[in-house]
Amino acid sequence: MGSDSDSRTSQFRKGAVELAILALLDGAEAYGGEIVDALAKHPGLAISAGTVYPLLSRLKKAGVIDSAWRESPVGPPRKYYRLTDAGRGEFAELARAWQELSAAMGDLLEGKVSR
Amino acid sequence: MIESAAVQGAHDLPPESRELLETYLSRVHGALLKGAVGEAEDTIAELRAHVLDELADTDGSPAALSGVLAEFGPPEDLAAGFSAGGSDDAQVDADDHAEKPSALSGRVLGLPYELRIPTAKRIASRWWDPRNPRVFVPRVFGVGWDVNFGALAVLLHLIEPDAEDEPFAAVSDRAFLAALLVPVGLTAFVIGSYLAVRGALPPTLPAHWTLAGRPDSYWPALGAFAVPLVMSVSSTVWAVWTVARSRSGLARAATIGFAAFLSAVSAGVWTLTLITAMGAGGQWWLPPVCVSAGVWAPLAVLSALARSGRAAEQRRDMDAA
Repeated sequence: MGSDSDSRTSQFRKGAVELAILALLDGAEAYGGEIVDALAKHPGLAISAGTVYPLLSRLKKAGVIDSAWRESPVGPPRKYYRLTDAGRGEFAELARAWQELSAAMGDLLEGKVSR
Repeated sequence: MIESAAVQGAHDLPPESRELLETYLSRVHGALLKGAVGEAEDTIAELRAHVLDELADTDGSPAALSGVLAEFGPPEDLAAGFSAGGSDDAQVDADDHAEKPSALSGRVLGLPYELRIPTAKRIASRWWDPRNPRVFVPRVFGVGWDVNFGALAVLLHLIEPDAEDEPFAAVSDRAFLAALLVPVGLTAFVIGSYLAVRGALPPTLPAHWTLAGRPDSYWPALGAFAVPLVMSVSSTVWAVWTVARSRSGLARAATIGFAAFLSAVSAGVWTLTLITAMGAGGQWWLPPVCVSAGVWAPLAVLSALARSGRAAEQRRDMDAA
């Protein structure tokens, strides 16, 4: 029962993390480790590097993000990710859809979730 | 206009629609079973009920049915959606089945099996996937799991998961030629050591060892030499041929990694054979140390190639900046 619930929660996270990554990259570039760390600051979004990197690869293949190696202020060169023009459009669209979904779910769940 | 009876069940569908629906569901069912998705029968029953519900206000014609099925998409994609939340192994299986559905690949009692002839692409995708944190992935050939050297390289901090945009795509010809020296050198070692000691070899050589590292069965010396020789020479020739003929970095790296694996195992087993044939050995750690070359050699070769590709990408990006 518990593991089923964990698995469903994990699926929620995987769905939301794509939008979260686009939000992180909106207006700022970041390398893989930074993205993993930034997501980890939000317990609801904490997801393993093993999920983040394949997702970054898929987003790059889809033309939503781009990457380039850059010198890092600290440590070795890093591969930085940023939104493409298409990615900015995709982000705006997904963010709008998310807000609609979130509002609808808020209505449905109102008063039904014990805190 | 002809008044049609409402569709209540599959028996209300015209024969062509019934056949179309059953063909579609049968393909979904087959894909679900291959993907080791549990409760395939329930899933099919649920899908059938959904389709019939959707057709309730229609004449059930093939055109109406096609419209409903189009919402599901191709049967294999629909089935893959049911397994999308499964294990990484299931994802590898799904990727392979997307490549080409085959009864020669799948799972039995939870164990992955692969009976298709290995291809460079399949070797590469299983052995070098640094973005996948799982060190053990379904085997390239046989039953069970292989090592994902990409995950191992990441664990050992030899490479980052996203070090290369496309694995080995930016690696130079010179780096591939240098990497070839590993299987070529190991093969030369097997041949050279045989030629050096053949006059002193006994007529039979160890063929099997106990856990304590002592030989417990023997076979003719020529056979003991021929098996590692054929393994290392054939895989090395394949790698040399691929490097010479293919422009695909993935194919080149895969065949070099494969040759490094087989030639290292061959050299390790041959070394163990010679050591124990000459009366030395008997230490428990000797067989695992010799055979473990089959892990370290491909790990070293593939990691070095990936680091070379990473360096090339860094030069490209940082020179352009």
